[in-house]
Amino acid sequence: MTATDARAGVPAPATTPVPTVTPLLTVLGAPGASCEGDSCSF
Amino acid sequence: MTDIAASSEAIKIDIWSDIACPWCYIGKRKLEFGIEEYASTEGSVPVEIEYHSFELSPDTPVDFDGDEIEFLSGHKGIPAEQASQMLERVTGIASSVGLDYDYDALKHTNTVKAHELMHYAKAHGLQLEMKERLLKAYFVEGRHVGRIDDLADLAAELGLDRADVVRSLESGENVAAVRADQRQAQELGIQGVPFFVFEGKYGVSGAQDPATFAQVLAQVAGERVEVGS
Repeated sequence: MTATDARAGVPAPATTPVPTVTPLLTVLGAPGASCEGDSCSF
Repeated sequence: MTDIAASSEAIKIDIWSDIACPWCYIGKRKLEFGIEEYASTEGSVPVEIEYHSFELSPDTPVDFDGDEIEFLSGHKGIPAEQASQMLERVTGIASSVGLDYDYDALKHTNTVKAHELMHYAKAHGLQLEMKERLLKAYFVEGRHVGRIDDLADLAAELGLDRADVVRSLESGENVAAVRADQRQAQELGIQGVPFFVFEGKYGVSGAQDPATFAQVLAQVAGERVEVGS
């Protein structure tokens, strides 16, 4: 949007598409027992 | 590709895992039980597994002078009595899936060379066998899995060329493959292991019950049928 557009109250053209966020993975269920770093869920 | 071919093609499970990870061995067994459960259902399809490297504690020295309780109390600040209770609990859970963990004999070590060996074994068609051998050596037999000579002995037990394994581990030729696995884990948002990725799209975190794994396999197979119909 340019400054002129803003002053005139003209809506800026929607030139930038809204990014679609696609998760790489769908995580199923609650996490089970695991280790993270040097710490494990005991 | 026909619909029938698409639905009978093996379901791929990529697993990020470490050797020094009690839940990774327990999770491996539970997954195997889950696969058995799923395979007994009508119309089930084969499953293909590939392991990937994940170092939980890369700063661990190759030779740690002390037992697991000393490591947990010294490294993590967990009181020795509490650490002992924790290990007792995980040993009990391991036992429930047929694994006889021996924490008194366990030799805490750095696992990067073991991961390199996993990649070597994969290139020779023995990755799954190597994974089982390394986990058993570490948790059940109290063998050292951080030194090249000890790893080469384990590899030779599987029929791999001992001298070539030594050459490979000394050269570090598979370090890049280990790092690539770790980068991929980071990209996928994997923070803990074991972590199971089904068909590259569904993640299952931790040592789940066999029924959960069977259910996910059935779901993945079911979706293939829906897509193909």
